Amino acid sequence: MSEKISQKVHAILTIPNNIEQLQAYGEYVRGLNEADRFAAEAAMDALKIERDRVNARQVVVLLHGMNTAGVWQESVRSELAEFKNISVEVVGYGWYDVFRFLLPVPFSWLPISQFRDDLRDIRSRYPGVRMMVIAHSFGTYITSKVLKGNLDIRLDALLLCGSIVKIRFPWQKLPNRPEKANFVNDVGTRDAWPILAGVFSFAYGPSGAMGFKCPSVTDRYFNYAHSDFFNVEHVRNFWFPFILRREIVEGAMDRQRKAPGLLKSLFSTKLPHVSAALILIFWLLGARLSAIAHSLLH
Amino acid sequence: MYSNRYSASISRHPEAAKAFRRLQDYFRGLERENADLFRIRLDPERIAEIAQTRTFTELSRLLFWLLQDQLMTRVLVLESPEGGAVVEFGGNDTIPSTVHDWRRDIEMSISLNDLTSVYRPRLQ
Repeated sequence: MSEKISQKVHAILTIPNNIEQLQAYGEYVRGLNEADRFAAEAAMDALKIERDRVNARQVVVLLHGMNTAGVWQESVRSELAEFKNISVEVVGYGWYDVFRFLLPVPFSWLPISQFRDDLRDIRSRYPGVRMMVIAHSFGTYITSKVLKGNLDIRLDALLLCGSIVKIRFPWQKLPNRPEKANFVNDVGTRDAWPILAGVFSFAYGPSGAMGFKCPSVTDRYFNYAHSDFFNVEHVRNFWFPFILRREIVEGAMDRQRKAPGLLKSLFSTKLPHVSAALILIFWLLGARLSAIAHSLLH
Repeated sequence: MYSNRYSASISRHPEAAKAFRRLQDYFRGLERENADLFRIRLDPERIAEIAQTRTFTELSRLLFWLLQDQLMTRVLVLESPEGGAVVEFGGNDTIPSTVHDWRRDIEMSISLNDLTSVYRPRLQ
């Protein structure tokens, strides 16, 4: 289908006067052959839907990670301020330290229940409005737990980055999850934190470094470390199309990333703790053997 | 069977095969329930929903092929601000600048926003 026709139809839709729009469009299609007329009609209908989607009201909820004040939330909020149809809600759960992070069972219920209540509150304040969540790091874990434990909470779209959710998290069993086209996991191929989180606690996994690779989620790969997603270029080039049109722009590393190294693979297994223990044992044995060799030689 | 005609488009447009297959399944379901396909009208948004198209390009390409492969026809419906259809047009090139709104009994000028496009199965 001709790109030229789409551009022409798009130009007609930008004419401010609605009656003149119709006249210009009528004149344009009158001069077209049948195939081009079909193309123009299809482009017109698709463009009108896209325009309606962009204009539809939406609330975007931003949830930060642990050990941070979530400065990125404010910068994303100000970037989105130009779109009058989008309301941004910045939510958090206070400063969450490493100690509580490593022991999620006794401590994580509080941020999870806080976020659940926040989402319910936002839903009641924006009835009928599409709700999307953007979560980073520990925020991704909280979001997954809230969705799993509260099937009445439905999201229109979900964007995870720096995710520490387990790779085999049962997204497919959650009827309240967004559909795949509205569910993105931004993966940082240089991000070590999700892998380490998986090593130090059974509750977490390296999905932010390896992707979920499941039918329910669209993984996108970038040559990023844990908090590189918040730069203005990334937000504008990759988050905006998704927020505004649910368009998933391909990640920079989607087609060219390398296979994970041995260490990364070991730590990303189902039992990263066993891998970590084995590496530690080998390292201690190696140190012991070299000490013995050293004492024999001297 | 109308739904069988989608098979040709599935093989002709492999890049949109999934979308065509979903539409085929949708119409198969209607045929199984003996629904009257003459009465079926789908707006482009519903087609996007059934076919699960994700982008403007995917949807416009699908709509184009639905028209070109003669699987559907597009009709423009003029709706009165009072609600309800006033008149239908076969294409944008046949639309007058004004029309009599019989629901309100006044002449109304037509703008692009007053027109809703719907797609109907092309059964012959």
